[in-house]
Amino acid sequence: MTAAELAVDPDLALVRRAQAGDTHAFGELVERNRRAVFRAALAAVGSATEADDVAQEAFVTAFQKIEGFRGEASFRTWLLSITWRKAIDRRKSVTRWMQRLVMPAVTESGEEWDPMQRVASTARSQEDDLLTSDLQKRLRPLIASLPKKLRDALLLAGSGEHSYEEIGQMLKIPVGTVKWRVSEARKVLKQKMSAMGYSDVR
Amino acid sequence: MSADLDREIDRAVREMLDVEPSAGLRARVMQRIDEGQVASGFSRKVTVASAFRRKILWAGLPIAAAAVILIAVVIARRDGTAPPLTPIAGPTIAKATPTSDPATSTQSAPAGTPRTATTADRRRLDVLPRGAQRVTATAAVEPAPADGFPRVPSLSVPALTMSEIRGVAPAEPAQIGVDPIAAPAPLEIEPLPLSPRERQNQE
Repeated sequence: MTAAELAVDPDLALVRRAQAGDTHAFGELVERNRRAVFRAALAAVGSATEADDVAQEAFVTAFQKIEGFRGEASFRTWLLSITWRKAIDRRKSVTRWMQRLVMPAVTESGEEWDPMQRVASTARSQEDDLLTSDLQKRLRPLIASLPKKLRDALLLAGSGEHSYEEIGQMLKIPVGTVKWRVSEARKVLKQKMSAMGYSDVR
Repeated sequence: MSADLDREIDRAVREMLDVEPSAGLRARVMQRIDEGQVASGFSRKVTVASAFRRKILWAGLPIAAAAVILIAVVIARRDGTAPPLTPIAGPTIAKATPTSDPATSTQSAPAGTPRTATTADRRRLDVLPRGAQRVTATAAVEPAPADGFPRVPSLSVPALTMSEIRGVAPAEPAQIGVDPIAAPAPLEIEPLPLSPRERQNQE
């Protein structure tokens, strides 16, 4: 392992030890990446509890497959790709479950029910409501109602944990497409806000 | 109402995802890894392999089911096919009759032991026309009497005799005559009896 390799992927030394069977080294990798993994899962499933489950599944799967990790991408990117796959599987199963048992298959607006709608409708305290402006209260449901492709890109980019390159690897799309989706999501949101009477100062 | 919408969108997104992972995430992951290693007995390779095997199993199930159905269809067809309708000579059916002469039997059954007709024999008999069965019955080989047993004459069927079917010649059109229909007898209808009201009127 050269210094150049370590510069590209700071996790590499721990990965090599984990590949040799050192579970403590893998524990250190979990600690380093848990926030990025959790936020990626949260962006997909919209619930902290389920994001926690997804993160756990992703780390266990990563441990099971770590011997196959060849280092073509960084360990973090590889781990985030696993996380995203798990999160999308969970999102699909949660959507199906909710459609069958709790919610109607199609909402009043004619769109499929989406677990992300829980984020927008989460009960908040009165203090939170006072601190949150009227505009913020209106924005959340609008973000939740965006098409999934646009919303995923917007949330991942806005989480502050993932670079465009990482998002591209996770979503398996070029970086240019990631940027276009984020921009398109903003455009759609601004149009909706304009229709509600808000104007952009810029 | 005016606002910097880009900044507001960024803020809304940050707040939506402003949740920290639970503190016990690492501990839970490590516990599951330890449990998995203990359960699998030796290494994580086992867990991965079992997942792969599960995938193979799911993929192979429909193929296996299709193969079973195919085999069942082939077997059913083979059983349902009747053997060719060839005239059967006496010795063939004689296998089904009791015999003690090994020379006349194609089977190496012990002398005096009646050989029960096989399913194939029975099926062949069912398929054959009635006449063929009679012929084969008369051609059955008479068994030699065993020691101490009375001789029982073999069954015999009288020869089939059929009366000749005489054809009826069709009649010529000139020969066909139709008798004239007799004139109907004149109808006699009695007058209806008077109703009570008519009777009252007459009185």
